[in-house]
Amino acid sequence: MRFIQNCIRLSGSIKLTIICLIITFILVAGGTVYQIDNGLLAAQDRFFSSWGLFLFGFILFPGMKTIAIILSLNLILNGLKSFSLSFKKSGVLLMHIGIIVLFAGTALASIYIKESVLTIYERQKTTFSRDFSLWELIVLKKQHNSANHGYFVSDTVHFNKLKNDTKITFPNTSISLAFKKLYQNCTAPSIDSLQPQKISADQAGNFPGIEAVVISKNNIENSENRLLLYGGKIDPVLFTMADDTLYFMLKPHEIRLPFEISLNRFVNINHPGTTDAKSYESHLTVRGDGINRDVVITMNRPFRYKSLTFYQNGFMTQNSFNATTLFVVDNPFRFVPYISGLIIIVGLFITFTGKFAGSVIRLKNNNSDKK
Amino acid sequence: MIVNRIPKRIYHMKNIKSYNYRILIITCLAHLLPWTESFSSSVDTFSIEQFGKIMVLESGRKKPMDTYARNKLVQFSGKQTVKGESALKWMCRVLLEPQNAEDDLIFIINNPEIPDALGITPRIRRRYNYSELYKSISQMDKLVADIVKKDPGEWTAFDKEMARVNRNVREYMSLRSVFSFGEPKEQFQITDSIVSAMLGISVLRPVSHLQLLYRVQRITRKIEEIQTKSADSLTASEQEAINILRRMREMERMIGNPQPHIIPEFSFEGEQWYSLWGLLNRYHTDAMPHVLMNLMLTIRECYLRKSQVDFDAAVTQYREYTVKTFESNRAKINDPGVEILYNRLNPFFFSKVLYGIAALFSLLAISYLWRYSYHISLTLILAGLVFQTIGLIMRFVIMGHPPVSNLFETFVFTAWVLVIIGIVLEIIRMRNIGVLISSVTGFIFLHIASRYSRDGDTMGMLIAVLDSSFWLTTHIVTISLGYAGFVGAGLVAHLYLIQKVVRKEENDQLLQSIRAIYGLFAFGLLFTVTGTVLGGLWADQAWGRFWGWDPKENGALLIILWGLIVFHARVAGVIKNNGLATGAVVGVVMVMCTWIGVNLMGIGLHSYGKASGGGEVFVTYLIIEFIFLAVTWMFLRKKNKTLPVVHV
Repeated sequence: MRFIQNCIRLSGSIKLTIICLIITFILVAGGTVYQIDNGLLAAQDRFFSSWGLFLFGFILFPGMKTIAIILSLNLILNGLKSFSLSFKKSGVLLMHIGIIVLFAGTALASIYIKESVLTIYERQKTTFSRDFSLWELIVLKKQHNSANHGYFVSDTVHFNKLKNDTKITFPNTSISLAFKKLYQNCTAPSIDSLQPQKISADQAGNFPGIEAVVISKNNIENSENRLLLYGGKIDPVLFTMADDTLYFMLKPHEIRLPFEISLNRFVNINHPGTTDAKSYESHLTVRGDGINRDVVITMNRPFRYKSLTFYQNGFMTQNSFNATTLFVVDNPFRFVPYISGLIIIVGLFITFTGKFAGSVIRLKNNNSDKK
Repeated sequence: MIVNRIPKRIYHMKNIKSYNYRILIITCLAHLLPWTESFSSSVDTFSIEQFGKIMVLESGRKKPMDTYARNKLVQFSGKQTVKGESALKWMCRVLLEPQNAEDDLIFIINNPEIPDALGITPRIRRRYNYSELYKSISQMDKLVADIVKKDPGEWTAFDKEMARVNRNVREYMSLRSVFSFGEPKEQFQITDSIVSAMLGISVLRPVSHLQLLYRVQRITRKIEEIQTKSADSLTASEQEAINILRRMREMERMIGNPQPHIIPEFSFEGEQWYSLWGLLNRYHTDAMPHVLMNLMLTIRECYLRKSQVDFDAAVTQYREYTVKTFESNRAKINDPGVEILYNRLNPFFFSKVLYGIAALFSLLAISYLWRYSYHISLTLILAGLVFQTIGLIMRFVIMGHPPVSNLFETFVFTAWVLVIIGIVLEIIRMRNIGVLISSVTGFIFLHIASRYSRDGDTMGMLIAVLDSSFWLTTHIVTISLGYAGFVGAGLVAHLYLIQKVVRKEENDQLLQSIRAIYGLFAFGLLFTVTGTVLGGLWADQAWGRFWGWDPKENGALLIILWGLIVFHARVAGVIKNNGLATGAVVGVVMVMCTWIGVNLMGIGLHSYGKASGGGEVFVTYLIIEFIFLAVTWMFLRKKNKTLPVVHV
């Protein structure tokens, strides 16, 4: 019993808070320096979104997720231990509540948040956006229906689930694929080669690649049946084996939007005499799901609809047609940072103004005593 | 409030009639004012003041010629004057009579190896003139050609300086050739008598580009006539006509639309600005006798004749025409008056000087060496604050947004906040700490800011993501307040640790210092947290995420974490007064790492805060702080002094 009591006391102690803060400090500083050579995504994986990591290759160090949980527990226990309804302590209590809300909100958001990118040309419309962090290997078959000569998706596998030197069988086809090399980000300098690239922090800047061998239903692996797939290629790759004609393709996961979006025009205004953008404007029309109106998205002025938010992300011009790129975020916990931030600031304000006022009063009393 | 408080302070310091000192200092300052350019009357008979009001487009911003001239001169020489002559006068000479500006020592070369490499005699003051650099231009081009082949990340200090000097010389060349289209050139000399008769130009005499341009239709008509002829069947005069036109077009292509862009035009492409050459190259024919072009030629002629009335009239006409062009296109062009006044007043320079002198007096005050020094210091700080406030307001008026959009402005703004914090502290505590914070930080931060103004214009245009007055005001102003708090705490902490080492006994002043450190540190933390949260909200609005682990964001988080570590350690009794002071000193290091250090990393989304250079100075600062803390702690451990923890 005493052991449990000691554990609870230790878990709620301010010294544990200090240790957690120091570890967080090290993680943030380490991750920031790590970004210089390894990029943001690598730093996030290793420092900011991990449970633990090895420092210098052998020192086991807690990751940000572990620290966030320990710190939350520490704050809760500390709050329970020293809870009292006094104005003096309300500031500290609010700050701690704010931090717990922030951690909880961040944890929930990391589970439910969906980020995707939508690129649309002027006078075109779309009903889906693409999640470039989630690539899919799809197998297409030609429809033999006389009325429709299109393709249908026979099988889909998430790229993240694939591993080097493994085999996967597609249930709706008679073939399997043996994966030789997988690239998170690569380029295709020629038709039969892939070149690995450094992983970009920009979600839409990574194009995966696959080097595989197609295996027939007889389980014969022939190196001549080599298949090369590149995420940056728009057209599917045709593969014929015996009577089977299949098309393979690597493409980002598509997220269906609740409405149809069409780009009426994109306006890019530069400061005169420069190529520095003064403003970007996407003039859109949104139709469906009970909404039918024109919308203008600019920097610092996104379009929000329920839990969806559309941000101006970039643009491009091709054959004198402008295209806008919007960043689409579906985050049901979007308001958590706003609420928690407000709670923390109010808590800090109460704490420090209380101390400041007390200090001034004490100083005045001291001065009057001296007189 | 300040005024009410000052008499009380005087009351405490019996027998000191410091009113007299204030009056004396204010009188001195009033006498200093005429030193600013705004109130100076020119001793020259020919005034070019009106010329300074002509608007120029540079880096997307429309600015008066006065600002343009200053920026260019600062960019070339690091100074705003040449031989005591204003930048505008220098610019007038460069643009309107370039042969009289060739011997100005305006090109600063900071690397001593460069003059050797160019074969120039090194000068002690490191400034060189155009004549001597022009002689080495081919050598310079050769060196630069080798440099640009390298990856910019691998450039040595020599390479960087060489590239900078070359860029400046090239820019200068484009400035001095503004009217070169009117200068006769050997390459346009006509050798054929038939062509000579057709154009009405003497044979074998150098001709200017403009002279040919006025006759270009005759040349093109001639070429149209012979279009069907084969190359072999062309006569000598026909070949001459073709060659002349080709040479003209080659020159136009080579020159393009160089700076300065002084002629605005509105077309379906929107607002476009041209230099005189740019305008010629846009129209290519004599069908272009543009009003502004003709007026500019008149301005030059009047300048060379030193005809004041005609010069002023031509410039006024030029300005009126520009304004009308904008008005007729429903566009806006600012009146240059405020900016010219700002330039001539040079408020931040005066503030810096006043804070610098005040810092010396505040050191005397804190050492109790001279009893009047406190009042002198406070008065100088207040005078500096007035100048600085005027400067910030003027920048706000000129740019139309809060003056916190680049590193220069954030340093100036934070200096302003620190000066106010110092004065407020003085009102509350009355212990000399406030004047010390105000004067020292005011001087240092304005000095750092002046380093960021060396590249020229400090009033850059806002990029699209920053173009939000609300977020710019709330986020950056709040963060700057936070930085100011940490820096203020750190400064007092330095003083506290020095006093702790030097003094034999603890005294009241040390206790006051530790209270000030605690208060300022808390102030810094409060506003850094608020500013960071607001920054997160802005990022959510602009980029779609509250937090993205960007180096600048992480820097702010590190400051907050450091603040929290220090406060929690203090509450838990892990650290005492010395620890708090040390934590505050490290707090300044954290702020500097975020403010300046992160920009040197060259990564992240906060590209508008990026800066190159200054890495050595920054590392030196870090080493000095480290040595300071190591030495202080060594002495403190020896003395093993402890003060009772003050509950603040």
